[in-house]
Amino acid sequence: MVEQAKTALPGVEKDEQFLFSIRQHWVRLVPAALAAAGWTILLFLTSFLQFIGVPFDDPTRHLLLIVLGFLFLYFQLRFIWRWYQYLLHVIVVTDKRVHRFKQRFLLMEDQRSFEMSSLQDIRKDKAGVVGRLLGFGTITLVGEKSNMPLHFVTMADAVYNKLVSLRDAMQMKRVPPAVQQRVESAIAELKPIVPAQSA
Amino acid sequence: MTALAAILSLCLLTIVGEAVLWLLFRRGLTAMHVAKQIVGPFAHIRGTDQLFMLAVLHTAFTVTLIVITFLFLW
Repeated sequence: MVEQAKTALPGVEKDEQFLFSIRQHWVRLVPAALAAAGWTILLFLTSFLQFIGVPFDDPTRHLLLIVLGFLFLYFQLRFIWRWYQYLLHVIVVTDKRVHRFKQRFLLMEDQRSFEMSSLQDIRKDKAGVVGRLLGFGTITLVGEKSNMPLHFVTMADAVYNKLVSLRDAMQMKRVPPAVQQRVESAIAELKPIVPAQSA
Repeated sequence: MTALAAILSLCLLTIVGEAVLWLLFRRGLTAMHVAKQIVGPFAHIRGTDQLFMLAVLHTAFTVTLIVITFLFLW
């Protein structure tokens, strides 16, 4: 399954090294789930009318039941639709790109990729009090020409930190080896000074 | 319209609706969507079998509620 997962997505090249993938926060499902639950409770509660006496004549009661039944069914199917869309929305991070896969209305595929080499900045925005409490937020990848927002990212802080370290690693790769060596030797020279100062 | 006709129509609509949505979902599903490396909610749901079982359970729940309510109140 793991190997298959690495190659199963369109647009992900074989030489890309899979790092991790993220699903959106479950809060995305809340509006559809609440509507479905609300209509379920309403339909369930109407059954109690039988015990207290239904105050309508037969045709009116039948019509009301059919309308209620259709609305209940509509919101149940709408919830399933949202659930499937939610499952089909995945963000995949590789060593070269960030891919966002999502299915609109279960029919149209929407795929966007962001080159890590063009990444200039990463912004994190937690959506208010709810976002802070539940730990989700929007992470925006800022590039030279375009930006890619990733909304409702689960564990936004951890994902942000991972992306920042990935960007830093990418930037270090771009530095010529000679400069890298000079930086490393300069850091090595500085190290003994630090304990002496603190002492 | 009799109670049986109303119940059968709504149940048929439920089953057809759920089946169409499942087929559309199944078509767009790749291994990554149910892969175990996914970080975040519902990461424990792996494989299409589990998802199919959830769809069947939801259909059964919807049909049961429609049948009960209509038999009580028709």
